[in-house]
Amino acid sequence: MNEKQKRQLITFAMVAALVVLFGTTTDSFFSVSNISNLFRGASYLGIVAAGLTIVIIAGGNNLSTGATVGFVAMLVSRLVYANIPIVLCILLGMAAGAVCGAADGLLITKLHLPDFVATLATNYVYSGMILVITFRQNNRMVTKALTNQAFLQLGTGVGDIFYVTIVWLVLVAAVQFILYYTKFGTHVYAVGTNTSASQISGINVDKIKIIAYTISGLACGIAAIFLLAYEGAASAKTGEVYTFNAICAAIIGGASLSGGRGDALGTFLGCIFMQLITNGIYKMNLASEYQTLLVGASILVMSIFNTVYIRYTSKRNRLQTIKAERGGTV
Amino acid sequence: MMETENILEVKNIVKRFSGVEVLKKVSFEVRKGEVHALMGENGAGKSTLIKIITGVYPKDEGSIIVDGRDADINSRQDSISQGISVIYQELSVIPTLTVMQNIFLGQELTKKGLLDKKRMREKADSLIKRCDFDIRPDDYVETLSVAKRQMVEILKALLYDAKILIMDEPTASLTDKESDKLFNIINRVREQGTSIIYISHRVEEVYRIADRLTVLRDGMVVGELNKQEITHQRVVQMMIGKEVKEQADKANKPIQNGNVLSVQNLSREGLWHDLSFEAYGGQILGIGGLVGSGRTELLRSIYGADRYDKGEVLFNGKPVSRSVKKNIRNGMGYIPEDRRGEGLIPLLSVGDNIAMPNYDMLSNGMAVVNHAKELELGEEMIREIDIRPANSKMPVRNLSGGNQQKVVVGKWLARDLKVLLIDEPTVGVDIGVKGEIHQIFMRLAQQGVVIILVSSDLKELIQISDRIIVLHEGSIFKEFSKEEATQQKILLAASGIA
Repeated sequence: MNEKQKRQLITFAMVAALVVLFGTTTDSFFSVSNISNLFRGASYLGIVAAGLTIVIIAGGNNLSTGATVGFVAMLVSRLVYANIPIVLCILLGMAAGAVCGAADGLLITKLHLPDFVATLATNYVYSGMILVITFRQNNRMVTKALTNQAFLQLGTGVGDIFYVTIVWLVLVAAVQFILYYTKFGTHVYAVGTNTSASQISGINVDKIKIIAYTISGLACGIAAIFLLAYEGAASAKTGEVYTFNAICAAIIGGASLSGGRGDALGTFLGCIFMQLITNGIYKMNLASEYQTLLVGASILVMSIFNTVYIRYTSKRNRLQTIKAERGGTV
Repeated sequence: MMETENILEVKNIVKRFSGVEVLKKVSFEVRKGEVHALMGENGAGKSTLIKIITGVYPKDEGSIIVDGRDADINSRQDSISQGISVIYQELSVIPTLTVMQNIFLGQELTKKGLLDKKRMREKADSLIKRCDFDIRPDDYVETLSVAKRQMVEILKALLYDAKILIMDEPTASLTDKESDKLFNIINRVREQGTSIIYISHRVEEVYRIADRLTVLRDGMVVGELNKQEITHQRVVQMMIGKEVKEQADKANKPIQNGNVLSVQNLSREGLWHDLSFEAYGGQILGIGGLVGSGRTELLRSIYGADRYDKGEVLFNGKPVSRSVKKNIRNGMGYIPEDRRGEGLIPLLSVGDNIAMPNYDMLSNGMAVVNHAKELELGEEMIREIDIRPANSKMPVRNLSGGNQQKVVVGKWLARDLKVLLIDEPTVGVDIGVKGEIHQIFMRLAQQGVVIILVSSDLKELIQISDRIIVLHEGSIFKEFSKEEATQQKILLAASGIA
């Protein structure tokens, strides 16, 4: 079993443990409506995290995802409210998300800002833009519920499966496919592992990073549209929680913040895990403190695995290398 | 086809850096299917020459002829299309990808826009079989040993039918056993008809694999040897050239004040075993050896920054602590090899850097720093060792290499030093400042400080050491007095030859 499979096994075991725990301790856990809602809740996070995973594998990070979701949600709600054709609203929303991501990517590659700094800053910029474009009456911010039925349809689903869940699953499959079956995917791992070696091999590192951030922004846009359609209104707080939850989901799913590791399937499991905790703890009537505690513990488990594993392998390699005498150059 | 047909001819290459000629009409030829070693000491011009051949640097004069045709090489891409591949000293494989992904990195085969894994796997497989390597296309590189990673690097270089494969110090990070494997690999690659330019300073290995060798010294080709002409003595002689024994600069013989640092049976797995020697106050003890012979680790272990498995370090009969802090308090100083990384804090000022190990003297009992004293110390050192510009508030990173090194030295001068451990003190230091730094060391020795100097600059080692021990394979291979030592003797001893 290789290192990647080991990581995924850990995530899977954690998910399974939660399912068993909540399945046995609560009554309605396995009910269709609970499962359906659980997946719906995980979907918004999952879509954001799927895009973020590419950024993280490429050795970056994105702290502006939550703000991007919020901004796009507000933008689309204004467009829908202004009776612009729905299809156009959706396309503009996705484009806006992609532009936010591309801006992050450009700041990081062309202006050489550290990813943390660049996206921390744009997080505030995009959040600020929500406030700028929000609905106002008598100069006070107000929340306006959408009434356009065609748009609100997006917040429903077929039978017990929400549309957003279908979109999430398709997106996970797509990202997984991109990572493993395209040139771009291979280059994402290469850039995240060793930038200079990638350059020597003729990879356009900046291009890879910009595309990764653009995909991340686009994913935020998609999540925003479905979130808005389900909730029926956007507020200044919409999307806020996703910034850190998406990073958590990716780490729990085996991605490494130092780059080069992780994939869409792992992050998928990470999102299910995050949602299970929220859902299960609610069902068990436990205080929400435990939710935070459990998330923290799980991140620790994954991180400890990462560092222990890396230390173990590098020690093994070093021992192989030092063995006996060695020479060198004068 | 003639037997001696050349795949590469380099003719009268001249390269200048800001007016200084670093390559002076260099010419050499590589024949089809030979391993051609390019040798020379640091700074002889080997890497510059390679960078010109591979299109990284433009040449100022001369021509490069590949396979009988004038090759107009202006970029890395040009050299690749001429069939010239390079394996750099630093491995450029990606550990998180598989062998196959690494071989094709940046050159992936695709079918309808998607990766054609089947064809890549087949091609990788046949390439691996052809070279008879013990790796599989789907192995993750992070699970492979360094030697196997090097195989991946070679495969990557061979992917596009390289006519010439340049290997820059490929054994620098390999064990002897792994080097043996690499030599087998090189032989196999040669049998495939690829010519190899093998760059190295290591006399003993070139002896084993090279068909011919060219020696560079000071930017000039000093000679070419065929396989049967290659001997250690001869190669070393060519690399070093005529040895001018520097006039011993010892008007006043240092005092022997009785300080003794004694290292007894020091051992550390993979580095040295039962190492014993003594260094006396009033003398500079030089330590010679190859890079990787554990010299730096030896200094760090004495200083308390590294651990050792077994043995003892005594100063005047008393055990030396394993704590850096205590050792500094007791009069030990260390000038590390990596000036920017370990010797200095580049963003801080000259004054702050000098104050760094001296805060015990610069603060009152309550750990509050006395800034007036700090300033005074900085200015005193600037005057004493002539640091330029004489501004204690200047960030150290704005200083020249030589003046930076003076700051590193100055850190220790304020203290009542008893032992000073010095690692490669004049790398990247211009010649004038180099002399000044040497003077400081000799003055300290005269004051009775025990000085241990590690240097790969053989001239420097011989010039300022009173005694030289040479490490080879973890033990002392030879000891020389100042009078006996020559660069040739030290180089041969460091290689374990004589």
